[in-house]
Amino acid sequence: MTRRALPLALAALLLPGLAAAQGWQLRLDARTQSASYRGWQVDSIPVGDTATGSSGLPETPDGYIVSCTGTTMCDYWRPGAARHGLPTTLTADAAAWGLGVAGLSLKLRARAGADLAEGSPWYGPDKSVELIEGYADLDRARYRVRLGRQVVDGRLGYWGIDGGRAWLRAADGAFEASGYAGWGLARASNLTVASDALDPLGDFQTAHRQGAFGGTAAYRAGRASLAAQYHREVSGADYGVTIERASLGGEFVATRHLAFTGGAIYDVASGLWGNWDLGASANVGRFGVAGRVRQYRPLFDLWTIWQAFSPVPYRAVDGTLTFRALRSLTLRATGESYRFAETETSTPLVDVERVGWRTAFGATWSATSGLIVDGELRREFGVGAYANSVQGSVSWTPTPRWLLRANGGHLERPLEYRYDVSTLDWFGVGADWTMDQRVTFGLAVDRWDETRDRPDASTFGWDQTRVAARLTWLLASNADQMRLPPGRPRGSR
Amino acid sequence: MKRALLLGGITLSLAGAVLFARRIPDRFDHPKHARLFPSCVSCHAGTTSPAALLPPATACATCHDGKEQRTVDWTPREGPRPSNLTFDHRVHPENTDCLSCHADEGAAWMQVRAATPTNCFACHGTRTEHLAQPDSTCLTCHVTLAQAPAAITIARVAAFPSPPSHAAANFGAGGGHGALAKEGTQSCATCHAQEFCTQCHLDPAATPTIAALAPDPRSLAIPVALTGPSTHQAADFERAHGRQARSSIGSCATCHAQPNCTACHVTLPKPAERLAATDPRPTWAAAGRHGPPANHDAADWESRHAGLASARPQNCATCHARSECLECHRPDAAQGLAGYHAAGFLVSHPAQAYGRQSSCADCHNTQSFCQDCHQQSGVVASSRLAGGFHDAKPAFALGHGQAARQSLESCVSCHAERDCMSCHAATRGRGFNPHGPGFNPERLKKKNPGMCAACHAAGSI
Repeated sequence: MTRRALPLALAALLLPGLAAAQGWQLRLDARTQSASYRGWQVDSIPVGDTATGSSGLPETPDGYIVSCTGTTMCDYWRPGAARHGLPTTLTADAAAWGLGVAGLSLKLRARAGADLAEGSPWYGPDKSVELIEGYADLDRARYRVRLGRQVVDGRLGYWGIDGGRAWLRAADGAFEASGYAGWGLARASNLTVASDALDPLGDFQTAHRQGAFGGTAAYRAGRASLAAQYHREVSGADYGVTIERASLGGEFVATRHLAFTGGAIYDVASGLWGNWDLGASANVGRFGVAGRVRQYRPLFDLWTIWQAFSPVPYRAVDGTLTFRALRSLTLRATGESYRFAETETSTPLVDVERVGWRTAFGATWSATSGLIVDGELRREFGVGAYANSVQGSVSWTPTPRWLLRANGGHLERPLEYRYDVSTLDWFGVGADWTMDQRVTFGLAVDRWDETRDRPDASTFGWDQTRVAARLTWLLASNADQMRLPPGRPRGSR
Repeated sequence: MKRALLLGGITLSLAGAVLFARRIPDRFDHPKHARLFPSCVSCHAGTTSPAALLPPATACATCHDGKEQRTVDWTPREGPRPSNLTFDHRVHPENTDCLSCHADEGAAWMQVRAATPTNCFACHGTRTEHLAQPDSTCLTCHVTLAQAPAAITIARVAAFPSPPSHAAANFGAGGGHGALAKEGTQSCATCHAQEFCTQCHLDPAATPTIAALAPDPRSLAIPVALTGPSTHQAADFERAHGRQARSSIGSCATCHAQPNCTACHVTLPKPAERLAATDPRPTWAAAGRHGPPANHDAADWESRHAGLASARPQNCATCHARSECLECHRPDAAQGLAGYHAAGFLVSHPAQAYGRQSSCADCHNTQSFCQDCHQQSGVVASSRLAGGFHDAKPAFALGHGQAARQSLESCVSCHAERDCMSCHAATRGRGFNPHGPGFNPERLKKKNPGMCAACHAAGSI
């Protein structure tokens, strides 16, 4: 079965079911955004054509600082051409039930996309229509079976598979275990690991899809819960293990006001602990406090060589304090300090930062009449790059159908490895209009003004005015036209 | 000053004239005619006989003939004034003095006024205010709303006064209005009909007091001002309502149907299977919706939710469909409106990426996403390792080891494997050993020997 044939077969299987269902819901979401930037272009010049410039460094005749590592030629980076894109997508979410079999439903999530601008420079998959999820689901009290393209989610992250998954439930739903198997998709992608889109640099790449299988188990008993996951992928070429990881996580709600969470990932393939965290959160009166110790370590698939380069983890301590000063005013402060583990390298010529910290102080004022004002000051110091910013936003819901918002801020972002301190000022306005339960329009305009502090003109450029528009159209059988509460993170509200 | 006073005076005068002109008398001026009429029944014969209650226009014309007195425009109302009273002058005891109801105590002859409930109670030996009467006594004087004439319009129903009993703290729930209804359903019926109750109560047949009420859509004119049960007012109700529903779903069923649950719950909770499948009240599904749990308001919820989501996936699934997760975790390039990342993120993203405040790879495939964009931006090492990019560290190529092991994900967003293998490969490169802390060659070789073979010739390991 070819790469394209499988999604098409799934769609062909699902669509007649969607048409025959007694209950159904279809959400169409169309978005477009104008975006632009100006990148770089690497160039070279004979050593003899360079001269010492005002910065004291060797430069090209037109002022670009060069790097002469050889004896004949010097490299330098000059601005590339300005690029403009108009990425446009149409995403369809469909669900159907009432198919004559109790608990049987069909789900489909697909996206069509294109860049409507000339040149099509904007990121996108290598196909204009992609199937994100599409499966048949049979959900009964004791078990559940799902067949098709689906996402397996958990502490290990998001994994897509084309295959099947089955759940078993016991103890009145308190215990749930599942197993799955199929062909794997590249992590956080709808593409297979053999897709050309996963190889923009023309690097080494596997030519075969990976087989994926694993299992999950979750147990919930009153105040405590525990969840475990195991995931393994093997290469379709030589059956070598490319991914093998396990995770364990849990939560314990000690009292109404105090809860603990924690968990860890173990990379079975390399024998290393990946990310782990242990935290507590408490809510007492007007105060909310949370703290956590954690480790972050990247893990790479073994069909690349990167895991052999021994990426080291950093360990961090973070905390959050919120205080509801008034009924309508909440103050917050967050902070984190992190330190990378010893890299066991000796680099006397290059001094590199090893520790970092980040803090944020903010306030949210929720006035009456749907007016919310938020401001935040962020200060960071970090490895590789860090950013300091002050930003604010206002959102106003004058009527249930209208949401108006404005945001703006100032940001400075120094880099550790390059002379390129960037300063950005931005301002944006937007509006959402909910025509009725089914139709929502959105429009946003943002202006970015950026300056870069370099001794020459070799800069990247983000100056632009961005315009984004969205139309969401919900079609459904009568009983299911209600939207779900939004599952958006704080910054998007 | 004088001019101002003049203008003010004129304004006040005009306003007064307008107001006075709009005071159209709406009733016969009884005191003015006190000397003409020795008894009430001379004009209001209908109070004691089948005759009309109000005199005909010809009776007025006896005096108001246009010569002695100006004529009057008078058209008597046919029948009694529309009301929901059961009172009928003709069946009231004949010996009742009109003024005992229609005049205040000690008033002069024909200083009359409309009868008030207080006057009625005075004769009947009751000293309680009208609305403070026991709820069981309403039907002594009133008909039910369903029996009230059509002239009792929706506007008049909406203006019905509310008895003090309705203001009790537990009136909405906790047995307040239910107990009263059991005591005297017919008294409730004075102002209410079945439609009023079914604004909340889903199954009228299950509640005899509601089933006993007649239907009348005018009852919807009175807004429902009941609060939910006291359990619903508790601060932790969102968290506790599941346990309460498991223990007493029958109570929930009084007001709630399955759509009320599925307004928030993605899958129908098991106890809710005993609720009615449909809800005829279109506004209730939305009204039952609540905000997110308190922990969602944490300042860093964005970075903390992953741990909870993996520990208790069933909890998230209570309110969230996974497609919502994909809104952020699998974004598309056209996502220009409010989304996961803050405004200006593109410029600040190197800081977030180097520091890995959150894992980019959770949502983005680092090859198709990071490398592709960097490649188009010219940031990548295209065909050879060009110098000069990391110009803040002039000897970066000779001392990049620490930076690479700390931020390898950032390195590979611009560099291909061959960039590193040119120096680090054992067979085709210069043999600089890249392996560092935690490297377990035996384990990796056992798991995937093909990875080792990329840098080491077969048999050379």
